[in-house]
Amino acid sequence: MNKTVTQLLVMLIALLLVGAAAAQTPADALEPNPDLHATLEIWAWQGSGVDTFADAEFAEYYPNIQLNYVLRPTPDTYQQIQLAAVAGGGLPDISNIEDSHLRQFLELGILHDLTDRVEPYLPFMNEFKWGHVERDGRYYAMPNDSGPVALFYRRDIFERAGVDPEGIETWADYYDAAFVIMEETGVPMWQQAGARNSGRLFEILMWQRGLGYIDEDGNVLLDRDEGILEILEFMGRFWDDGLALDAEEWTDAWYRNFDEPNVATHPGAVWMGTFFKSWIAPDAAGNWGVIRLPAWEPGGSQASNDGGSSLVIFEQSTQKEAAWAYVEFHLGRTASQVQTFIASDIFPSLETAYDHPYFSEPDPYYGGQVVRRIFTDVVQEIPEAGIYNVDYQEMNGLMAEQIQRFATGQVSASEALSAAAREIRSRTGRR
Amino acid sequence: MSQLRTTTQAPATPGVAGARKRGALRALWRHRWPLLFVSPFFILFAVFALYPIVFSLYLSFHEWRGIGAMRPVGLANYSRLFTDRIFWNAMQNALLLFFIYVPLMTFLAVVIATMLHGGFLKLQGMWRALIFMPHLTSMVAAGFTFRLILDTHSGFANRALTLLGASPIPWLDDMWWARISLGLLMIWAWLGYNTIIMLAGLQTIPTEVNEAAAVDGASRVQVFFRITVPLLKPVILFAVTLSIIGTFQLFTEPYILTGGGPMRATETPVMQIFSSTFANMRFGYAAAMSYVYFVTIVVLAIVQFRLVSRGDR
Amino acid sequence: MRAGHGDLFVKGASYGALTALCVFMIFPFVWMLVSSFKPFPEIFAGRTFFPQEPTFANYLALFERYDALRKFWNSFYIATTATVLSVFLCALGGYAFAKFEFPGRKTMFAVMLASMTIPFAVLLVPLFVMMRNTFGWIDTPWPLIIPGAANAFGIFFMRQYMLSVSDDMLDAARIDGASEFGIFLRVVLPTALPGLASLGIIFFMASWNNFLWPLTVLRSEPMHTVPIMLNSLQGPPGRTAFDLLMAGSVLSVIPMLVVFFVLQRYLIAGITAGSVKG
Repeated sequence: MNKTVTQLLVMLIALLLVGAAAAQTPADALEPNPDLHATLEIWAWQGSGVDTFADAEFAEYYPNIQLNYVLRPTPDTYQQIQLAAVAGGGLPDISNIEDSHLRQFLELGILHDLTDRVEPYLPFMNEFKWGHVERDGRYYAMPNDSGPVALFYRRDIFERAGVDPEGIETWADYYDAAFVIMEETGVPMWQQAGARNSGRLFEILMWQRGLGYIDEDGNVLLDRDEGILEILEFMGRFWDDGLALDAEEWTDAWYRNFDEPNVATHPGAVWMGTFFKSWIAPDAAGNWGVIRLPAWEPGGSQASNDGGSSLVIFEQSTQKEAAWAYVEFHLGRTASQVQTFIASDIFPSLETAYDHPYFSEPDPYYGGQVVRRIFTDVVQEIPEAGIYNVDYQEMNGLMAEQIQRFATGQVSASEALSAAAREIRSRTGRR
Repeated sequence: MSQLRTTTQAPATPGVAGARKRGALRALWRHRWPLLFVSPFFILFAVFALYPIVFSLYLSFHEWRGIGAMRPVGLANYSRLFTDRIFWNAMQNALLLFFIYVPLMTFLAVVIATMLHGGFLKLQGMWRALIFMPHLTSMVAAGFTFRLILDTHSGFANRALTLLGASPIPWLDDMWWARISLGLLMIWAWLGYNTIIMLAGLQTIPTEVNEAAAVDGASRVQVFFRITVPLLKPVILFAVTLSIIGTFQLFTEPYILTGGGPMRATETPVMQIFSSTFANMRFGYAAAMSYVYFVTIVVLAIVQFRLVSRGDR
Repeated sequence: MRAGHGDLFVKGASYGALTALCVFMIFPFVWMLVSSFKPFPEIFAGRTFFPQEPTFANYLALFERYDALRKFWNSFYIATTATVLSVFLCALGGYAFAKFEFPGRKTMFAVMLASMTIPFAVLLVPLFVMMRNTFGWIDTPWPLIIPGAANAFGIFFMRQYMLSVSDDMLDAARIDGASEFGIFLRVVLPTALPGLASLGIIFFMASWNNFLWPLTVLRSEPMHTVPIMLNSLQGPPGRTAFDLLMAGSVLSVIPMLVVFFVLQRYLIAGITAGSVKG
């Protein structure tokens, strides 16, 4: 209770400060400290962006801390953490962990309690992020990046079809536009694999409405909420009406369809724009645009999240001071986060970064649109949703299978949801 | 008959306890060499298999996330397992897959071995080498290569089909086709191996039997079905036993080729055990799963083994 | 005469079937090879079978960015050590089961055969904990060499082979006063050389291509083996480096082909030896 009061006070003071002048995080005032001696081991998955951290500057501030990165394919990173945890040794000092996996490790009790250290940063980070790293009022990680979701669309196709993207305000509008675009250009509205669906879009759409696999009490929500049924049935209409292009995510056919283009839109997180720009469709400069997600009802939420990560320090680490220096320097310091974002488009959870002029620059890849501002708006409105939880891996797998069955016409939407809910209950022992 | 075989026929005579003990020791000493020769296996087995197995059994009666305290749950893991659709679906997949590729592969192996046996065809060595070659490949490499070739949209297989005027096949995107594709990969990888086993078996059939049949005017095909196959029966059953075990232990191939999809159509029991352990961190449940699965394989193998030994007599 | 005509037909059909089969067997290798010389976009554009702009860049990248040479050495070193040790121990065990009667032989043999059905997945976690806490073998080659050194399949294979070793020869050696171990080394092993070679190929291959266990115990990148290196080339989100993967796959197959073609004579000899000895 006392804690909450202090937190509120800190927040209040911070808010006042924000109102008064350009916000300053504690880390923005860091002084060089050559007294910390350590060699830190840091684990991350390939493509996590830690390789674009401001390590050169870090070396100037902490000349006696050496950094040793170990990058692995995504699933291996987590497997190695689990194995080391089980064996009771061999964990690194620090790891970058996706929020989707974080809760699992948090519950294992292998993460160092960072409450006292991260408390000054509570007001500076996207609020929803703290929900991922908190348990019983204690915080076990420092937010790194967020995955605000918006709707990417092909300007060329919309123009050919004569559809005004700004006119799409609700998902109903989006569905109507899909028909027009199909009629005029023959191009499907989105890519959604049927038999190989990953469940990620379904999660994005649930998240937008503050819904998820479970409610605040941890009970399974899938078969108890009309909104969820509406989402799945909505997705189903695109398959039924031939408005969805069937290609598995992260395969080359999927990439190519964005480039050709064989598809008109993509509801996706900010990091997808990085991929478009750098290697999926590098030649399509000027052809992509971004609008906010259509709402489920006029005036409804237009913000969702997909992905995002945090840095943790393991309880086993014997160099926690140095480890925290690393975490704070890279994630709490505005200049570091801005630099990482410019280098790799890893979207900071640190909101002071959004004041940097770079976020207000027009982006030539999007035809001069000020795209980054859209995402800074979205990210501050993301609702909390019961998606990334301790059983997320299992829930995603069970639901994805049912979406696949639904997409291939084997079951109805409500059958799919009740089957997934039933299996989640039986496997996780939830109600 | 070897001397050793005759000397060891002597039955242990009943006597007083001390004498029996001395007798046992004497027997141990007398057989020290063979016992010593087989001991490396049993020592390694005890340390690196028996202990982990016992640990797993203990684990299967607990709920454990891999760290911290284990919570005893009695038979709860097992009772939950019996209604777990996903686990039984994986077991069923293994069985389906077995029927998809093993009969065809075994038949092909016998036919090819017969062709390559006894100077019937020229360039025997070359054929044998070419058929065996895939078995040399890492399944990681082979899995990725097949994934490229069978890709629905850009794979060579569908390009070729389209060129020939046929419609493309959803190799990896349809439940049955995905199982067939996995079966194709298995045949590709294991046909050569099975052919070698059959060739070894054919060596045990005296050539006079075939010659006698040929003199009697039987055609090659008749010899094959009436003489070769029946005489090879024990070897065939041995190969099939290996295939049962191999199919139920499949991991790398579906892991790389299909990831277990679509709709868990190619998910194997080991993949379920693996993901229950490493993705879901339900160590106790996964241990129970591996036990039920283990018992199933043992039963299948025993059934097979009975058939093999009956064939021997 | 009738048989002769039938023969001609069967012969023709056999050659035809074998050719078709071999095309199926070889094609993935060819695909691997041609793809390994293609720049990434060409692999998926797939407009031509052969590379339009052949390049060695994939191979070079593998050595420069992923230190492939080191991974190959790791694989080679581990596979060789593991093979030599296990072939020796399996021959020893197989010989005992084939040529000796001893108390508990049947039970031991059954236990051994049954152990072949133990799924590795059951052992993975406890084994890992043991490797780390009891032996301290994580990130060393030992977990890939020691636990499987005397395995049931190898002993079973060698037993079948040893059954054909002549008893008279062994008895003659015994009469000459040779010790049992001496007989094994000087009489049995040389006689069984072809069998050892064929088992050796199988073991070397299994070790070279092993995936799950090395993935678990070889944690730091410089210790990785070739399949682990190949696996690390994939991973969403992002792009699976199929270009490097194909180059790596080609390289990973070459040593196996060399081993196979060098030892193939022994493999054939091993298979045919049984019939010669009657």
